[in-house]
Amino acid sequence: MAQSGQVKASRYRRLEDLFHAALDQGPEYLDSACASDPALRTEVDALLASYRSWSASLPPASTPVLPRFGAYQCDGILGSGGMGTVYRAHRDDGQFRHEVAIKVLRGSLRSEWYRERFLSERQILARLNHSNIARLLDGGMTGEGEPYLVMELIEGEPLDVWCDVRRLPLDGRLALFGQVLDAVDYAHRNLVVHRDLKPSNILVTNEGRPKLVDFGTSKLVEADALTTSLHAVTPAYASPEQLRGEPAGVASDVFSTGVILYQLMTGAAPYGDSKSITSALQRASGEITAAAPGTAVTADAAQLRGVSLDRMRKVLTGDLAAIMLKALEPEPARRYATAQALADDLTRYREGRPVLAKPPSRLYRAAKFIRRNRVAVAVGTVFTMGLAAATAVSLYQANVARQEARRAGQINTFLNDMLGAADPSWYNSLRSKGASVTLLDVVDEMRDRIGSYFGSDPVVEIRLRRTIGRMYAVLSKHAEARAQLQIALQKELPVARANDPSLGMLYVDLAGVEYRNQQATEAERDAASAIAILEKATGRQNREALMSAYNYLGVARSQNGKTFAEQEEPMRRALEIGRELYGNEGPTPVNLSVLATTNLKAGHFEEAEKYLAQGIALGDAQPGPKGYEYVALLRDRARLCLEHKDLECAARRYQAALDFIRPFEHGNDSVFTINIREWLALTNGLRGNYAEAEREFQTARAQIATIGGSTAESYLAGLDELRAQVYMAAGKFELAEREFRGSLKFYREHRRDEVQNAVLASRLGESLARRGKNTEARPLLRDSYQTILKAMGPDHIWTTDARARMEVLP
Amino acid sequence: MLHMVPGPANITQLLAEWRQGDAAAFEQLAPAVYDRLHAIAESYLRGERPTHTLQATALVNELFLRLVKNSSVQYDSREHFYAFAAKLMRRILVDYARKDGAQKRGERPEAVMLAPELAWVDAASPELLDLDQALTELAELDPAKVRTLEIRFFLGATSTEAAELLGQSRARVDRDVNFALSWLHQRLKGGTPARSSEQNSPDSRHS
Repeated sequence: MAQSGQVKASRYRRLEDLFHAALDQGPEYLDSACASDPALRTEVDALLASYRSWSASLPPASTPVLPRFGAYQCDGILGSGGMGTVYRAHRDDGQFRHEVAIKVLRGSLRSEWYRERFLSERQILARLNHSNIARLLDGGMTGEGEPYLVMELIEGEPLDVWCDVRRLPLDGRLALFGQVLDAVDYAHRNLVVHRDLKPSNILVTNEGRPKLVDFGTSKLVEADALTTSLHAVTPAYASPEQLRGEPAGVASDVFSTGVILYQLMTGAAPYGDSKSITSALQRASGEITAAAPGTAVTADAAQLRGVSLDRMRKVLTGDLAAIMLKALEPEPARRYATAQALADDLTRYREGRPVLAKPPSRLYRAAKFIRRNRVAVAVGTVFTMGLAAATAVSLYQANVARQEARRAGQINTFLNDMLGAADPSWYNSLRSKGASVTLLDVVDEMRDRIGSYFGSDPVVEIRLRRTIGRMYAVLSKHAEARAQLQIALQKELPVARANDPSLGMLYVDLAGVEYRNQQATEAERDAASAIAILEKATGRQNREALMSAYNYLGVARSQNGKTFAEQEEPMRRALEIGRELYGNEGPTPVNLSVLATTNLKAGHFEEAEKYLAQGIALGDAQPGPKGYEYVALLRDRARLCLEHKDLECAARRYQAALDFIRPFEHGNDSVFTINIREWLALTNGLRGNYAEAEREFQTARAQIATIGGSTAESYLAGLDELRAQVYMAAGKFELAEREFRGSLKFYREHRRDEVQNAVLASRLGESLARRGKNTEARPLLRDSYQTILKAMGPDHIWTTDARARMEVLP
Repeated sequence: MLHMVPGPANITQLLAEWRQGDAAAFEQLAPAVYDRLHAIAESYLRGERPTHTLQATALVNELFLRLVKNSSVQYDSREHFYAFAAKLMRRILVDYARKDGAQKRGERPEAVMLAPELAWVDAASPELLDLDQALTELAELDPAKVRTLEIRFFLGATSTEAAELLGQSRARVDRDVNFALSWLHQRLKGGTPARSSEQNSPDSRHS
């Protein structure tokens, strides 16, 4: 029995092999293969005959008969999918040849229910009149009662193909995608949900206009919700709720646009193998979420976007990533409420304004803060940045009536997320301030409430204090920031493990606000504490924080008047870590900017030039918004011209830096912008425009004075040094002497680098000598010359300048 | 509830036992999904489904997700679950054909087909019993192919879906289906070998 079973099985296998071989290689194969076994040959032939028999009755897949719909004759098939077939057709009722696309729904829609559904759907589609949506032109029923739609014929390529073929850079892709969102939002406002958004349903015309096609079809089919859920949609782009067969609304379309955006940006699907059923099942149950966009990019994808892999990774780990992940939230309520909200956030991103997409985690927030701090470090000055745009832009501005509900919801979520608890009284109390609520109000409110809310929960309190400290820092409220971070530190120290990286991050935060609060000694100390802890830690976030700590150490040493070598050493270490983190192409614009500024101030012009060129090239290659570090690079490049006494070049470059930064300031110049204006005023003053320069200096002085405190004092000392140089050029030596003297006094007290002070002393000496105060001038000029000569050598421009100034003396 | 529904924690275990040959496990599992599959089968046999073919895949997706969501059923057991559901659907249809098929046959003007590839079997008639018998015979020789056929035609999965579920290539699934269907057709419809030279090669239609 077993024997016979085995024989049967082996004959079956032999049959199977011969069957396939005959199909693959032709029946003549059997002539030799079965030569010795005619019975086997007979069996195979019988199987092949059976195969022909059953497969012959399959509906033919080719040579379809092209149908006719009313006045339209079909010329070919444009596409055929799960929902139906789309024909290319023309109107041939003797009029001019007018080409259209005709859609026919598959299957019979014979029932009354379908017919009604179809008619109402057609009415909705007829209402959609948008330049990015293929228009419905006509529709009807065939003699057999088969409904059809006549649509505008779109001849284009699918969105993703269009972008890749043209190697469209990220920013160009975002612009194109913005039009898509506009169309989706328009449809939503007309109560039409697409439900099957995917690149192949978005065709881009030769003129570069994306057009949504296939609108409404999926909704029609949704009728059979129970069983068509997976057949009606494209699983790769379907939202989790769609995959679960639940009703799909606006949020579902937002999710699909999120998938499209993710693919346009990264070239990869957010869930790996998006076509697999396994993946669909896991997404439906919320088991997997989108991979971090920065990790999804490949060299090929980068090439198709005309950008290097490292650069692309960097771009796709910031705000843009947060935006994508928010659109891809498994929970519909956590996504953008509308396509418009997503579009708005992308616009904010492209304009370099703060986005609403919230970082997914505390660590992410820390990284984000650190990134901003790196920017601040690079600039070496205090300025409002990032979220600070909100100081001018109140949260309730513009279109209040229409957007009130949506924004209220966002603010509420924001507050709730910050606190991890819902409390409407908060929102109400802020709301009572009406249209003038600023981010600072929100933060103050949070600070004042923490104690009573979470006093009993130190862990939550520590987190909140840190968050609020960071927010104050972002708002340039450094004293408040430091106070909150200090409370967090005091509460964390007793409970933290030794070398806990989160403690290290806290020290980095502290060093940052202290540096910017002109507390250089404290900044140096805390940066060192951070380094001691974070050098032992692994993980990307910790390494990024460590890099910041080194940068802070460098700039704090600079603020403390340490030698150039002492300043540069930690910055170089930061650069090394940057290479390790971001690959060989490695140094970030921030690192390069910090090094450029330090070298520039030390008179190392060749090195500075090298760093500047590299940093600006990196910045130019980077799509999306550029940070303040880019502006700092532009500013320092202008300074290089100035040092080389090429005034025309300096004026042009300072103006370029201003032109770049101005649009981001919304009419309120940050101290950073003020600083550039001062240097431009100096340049113009040296070119003979004394009155104009003086006006600028006056304005800048008044603006700085409003900041107050030691910060303002240090800015004013810097400003006066520049202003005095213009007085010298204008021959107003007495005024120059006064300003030089005040400035030098400040810098001597505040431990600036001795070479820079020597340059300043030399200038003061000249102003004295010009007025015949030779007794005081002589030692100043001589000593400062010696200092400069010793540090810079005999040929440096500072040395030759100082030597020339001595010649003023009789 | 007519049936005893197994507790959620049991389902994974039962699926594993059934897969290892424990027929009793199948009986215990059936109530969990029987009603829904039965409803699909009925509406399909009554010709109410617009597609006119049996498409239970989506329903099985839904059932499985529900089990996963509400219980400790593991994703690992997904393929087992599909195979189980396909087997159960086969049985429902066979029962239907056996009990009611004969008398209902007269009320329907047209045959019911499982899929275009199986248009030669009226699924609502005793022909299905013959198919069932032939499948049982095939299972003795090649149980894997029967599993593929069940998922493909009793659940109405596409080649692509079946390939994904079974962890095979689509080409492999199509190849297996071509052979197994031919084997069944030969078994049920017999006949003499046709003169191949005059026929269109069916291959060209499957590209």
